[in-house]
Amino acid sequence: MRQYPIIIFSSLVFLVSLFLFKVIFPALLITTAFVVLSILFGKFWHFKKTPALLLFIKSSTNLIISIILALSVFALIYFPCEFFVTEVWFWIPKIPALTAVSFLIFLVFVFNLIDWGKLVKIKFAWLLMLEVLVLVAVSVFVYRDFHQEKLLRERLPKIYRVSRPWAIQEQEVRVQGVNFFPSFKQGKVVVDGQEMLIRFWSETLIIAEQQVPTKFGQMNLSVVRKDGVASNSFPFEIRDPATLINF
Amino acid sequence: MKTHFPKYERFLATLFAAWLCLAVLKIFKVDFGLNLFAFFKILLLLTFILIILEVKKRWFEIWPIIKASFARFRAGFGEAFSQYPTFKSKAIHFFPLVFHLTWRGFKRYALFKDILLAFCLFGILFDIFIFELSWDWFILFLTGLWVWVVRLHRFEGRVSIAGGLIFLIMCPFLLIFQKEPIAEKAAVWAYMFLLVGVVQMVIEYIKELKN
Repeated sequence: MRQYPIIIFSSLVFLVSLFLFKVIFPALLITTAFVVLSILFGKFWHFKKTPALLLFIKSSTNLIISIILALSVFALIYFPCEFFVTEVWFWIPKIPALTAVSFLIFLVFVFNLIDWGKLVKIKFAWLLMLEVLVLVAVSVFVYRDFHQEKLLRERLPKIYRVSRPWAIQEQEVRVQGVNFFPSFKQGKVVVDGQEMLIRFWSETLIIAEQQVPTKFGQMNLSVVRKDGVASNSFPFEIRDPATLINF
Repeated sequence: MKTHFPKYERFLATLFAAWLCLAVLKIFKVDFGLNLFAFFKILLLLTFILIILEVKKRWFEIWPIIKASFARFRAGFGEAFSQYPTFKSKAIHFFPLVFHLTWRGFKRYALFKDILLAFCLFGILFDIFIFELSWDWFILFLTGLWVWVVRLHRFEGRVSIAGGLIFLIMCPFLLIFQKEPIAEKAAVWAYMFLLVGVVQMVIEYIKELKN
């Protein structure tokens, strides 16, 4: 009699996975996995009172909850931070790989300290579980949004540093960033429509010289790539040499 | 120390599971942007620390084993040494003695049938899933080793056939997930296992007829 629920649920799993993947083979694979797992679970259920199985379930629950929470909090904190630091504020092109790994290890360590088995037994455990589920759901959305947005912006030209905030004619400016294209696909450095003279061009560094300007004042510097895609703008001032004292 | 040790063990197990989880997610294109190789190196370092702590904790159990092994080795060396009485006078006997001791050690530990079985199985799995290149001599060597393991363990023909079927079942799923090179290797091993199994079954059949 126990086989009927398995058949019904496996049909449901098949339909849902078919709807999600739109291909029959992965859906079949998931359904097979579900059936095998259900049968295994049924076999294990006979030994539910065994101390060894209880210990196994307790340790596995702790382990799985710790991992899920660590990954969720990681997604909630790290992805927005990385996105803002590298794509919005343009502080650094890339966060060092070890930072992310160390942060995840730290989170795993923290969540591992908590005995989840005990927490499940408290009075408002369902509320706690609900909070955990909400956290996981939010983290999935955060991961999806920030990750997709980052992937979209990954290939765009970006300026992270300009060697000086202002220049006068014939002065050189070093523009550091990423995705400027190689030297054989040179673009241009523009300050509010006024083009600078390119002295050196590479994927991550441009050395440009300020030509005789048509106007002075506070403007924005940006790099326009060969394919016409413009980078983020950087505040830059073109000064009048006549106004400089003791230059 | 005693209270923190199980926690550390649990932490390492969780960390390993997290690494495994991230690796599997990466296969399904859910990338957390983490350097999994660096993660694994840190994991190895932490495991090494665990091993040192474990050895330190169980030193009172390990030390007698080391002492006993050393005593056994010394006794064995003395026995082998007695077979070469002119060793002291003739340095030429040094190399046969070394060869003899190496062969004895090899026979004693490396040719242990479970170790051979493990070596063979891991070799096949490594060949399929880890090594990107395919070497004919390696496949032949592992097949030969499998034949030897079958002889040592007295496996029946259906064990090899079952191995072949497992690899055969694996192939379509690997092809679905567009892992053609791995599927190709799995198919090669399916054929090899089926071949060994069929030969075994023929031999078994002949033996039965004789009986």
